Amino acid sequence: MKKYKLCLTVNGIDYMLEVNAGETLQDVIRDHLNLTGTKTGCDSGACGACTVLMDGMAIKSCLVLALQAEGRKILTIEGLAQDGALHPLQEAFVENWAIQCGYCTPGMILTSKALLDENPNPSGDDIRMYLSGNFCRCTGYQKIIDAVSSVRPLQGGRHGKK
Amino acid sequence: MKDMRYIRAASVTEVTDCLKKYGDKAKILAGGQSLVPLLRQRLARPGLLIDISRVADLKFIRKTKNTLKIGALTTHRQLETDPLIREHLPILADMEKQLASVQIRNLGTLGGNLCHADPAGDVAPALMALGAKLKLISATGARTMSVENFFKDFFETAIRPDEVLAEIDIPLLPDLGHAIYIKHSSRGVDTAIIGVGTFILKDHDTDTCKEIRLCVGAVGPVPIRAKNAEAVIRGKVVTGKTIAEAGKKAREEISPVSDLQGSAEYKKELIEVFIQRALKAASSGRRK
Repeated sequence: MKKYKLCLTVNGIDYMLEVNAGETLQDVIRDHLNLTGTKTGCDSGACGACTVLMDGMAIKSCLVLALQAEGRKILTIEGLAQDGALHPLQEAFVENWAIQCGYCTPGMILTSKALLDENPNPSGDDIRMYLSGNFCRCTGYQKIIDAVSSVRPLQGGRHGKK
Repeated sequence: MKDMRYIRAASVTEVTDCLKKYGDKAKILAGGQSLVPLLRQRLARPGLLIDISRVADLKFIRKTKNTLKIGALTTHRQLETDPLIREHLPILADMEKQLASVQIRNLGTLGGNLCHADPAGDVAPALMALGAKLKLISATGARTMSVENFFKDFFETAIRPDEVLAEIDIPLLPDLGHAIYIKHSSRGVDTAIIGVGTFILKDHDTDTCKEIRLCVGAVGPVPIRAKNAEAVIRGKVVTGKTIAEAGKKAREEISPVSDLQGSAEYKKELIEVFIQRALKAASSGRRK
């Protein structure tokens, strides 16, 4: 089986790996790098549990071949907290009880991060539209929307609690 | 998939040379949003993937005097947010907003969507209504074909194994022209149960309909033009009565097939309702 060289950056760390042509970015993140915070849900692009950020864009890592991510910067849920301090979105999810079983949470938080980076003051509808590709099988959507709504921009382009 | 090989093409010439050499053993990978699930489910088992996603020459949105030219690798998200598209062809921005989720729109491409030829795709009925043309390139030359002639059957197009879709040319709307796309689906992110792309051009003096295209997706193997319904409207003033009649004609002339999203009977009902809604919205006088 032919192996291909893959260079990419995940959570600020550069990796050089060998992958098969058919492996997805999700396979690489979970199985090669053991970053299992990125969840496998439907494996067909419907549920959003595998969402990560690629060069800042929310993408479904089950729909991207690893080799398509050559040279890209990937952010997974493990890379969001800085120096042991949770990201404001993570804090907001905890404080708003926006986590039930937790399986959709990494995808929800990373998609929300992409939204806030693009649009720092989203309306409730903006949040609903942007998160429509992320399923919460516990159906705890309202708490998730409350959590994202509670995060507001601070000076200097960062986000904090309202 | 285990012995599948992979090439990352850097230029259009490299793509067409590869296609010439490998033909139908190769499959083109653009954004991958339709192809990767097919690979995972073993529904597609190509010997070679030609990754064209880094071919910069296929990424552009350009305005000429009478058309917008869009590179096949332009993503759905770019179309949704591009100022040129919003100004000149807002139907496309509206359509893209209704297409899948933001994650998929970030990577999925216009060309990939067309070549995948899912009969429930949103892009095709909208582009058909606009009278768009496709430019296909091979190692031996280029040819142009209308979107309407591109689709042959479920997931089948007129593209030859040695060709790549390079560009989509869309005529700009005439002054009194109006185009819209409406869709019905269970959830916002789901594939269409029905999608209708509509173009209407009215006469400035008489307010009669000079030109009309009603293009219905998700009701057959390929997007279908409701030509009998168009004939009801063409040359007449669009009124509640003609709209109702056109809806009935469309229902008669299209025989939808059942799929995972809805039964044939249900789709039959939706055809009448959605043709009426589309006509009502498109003829309401809003410009574009």
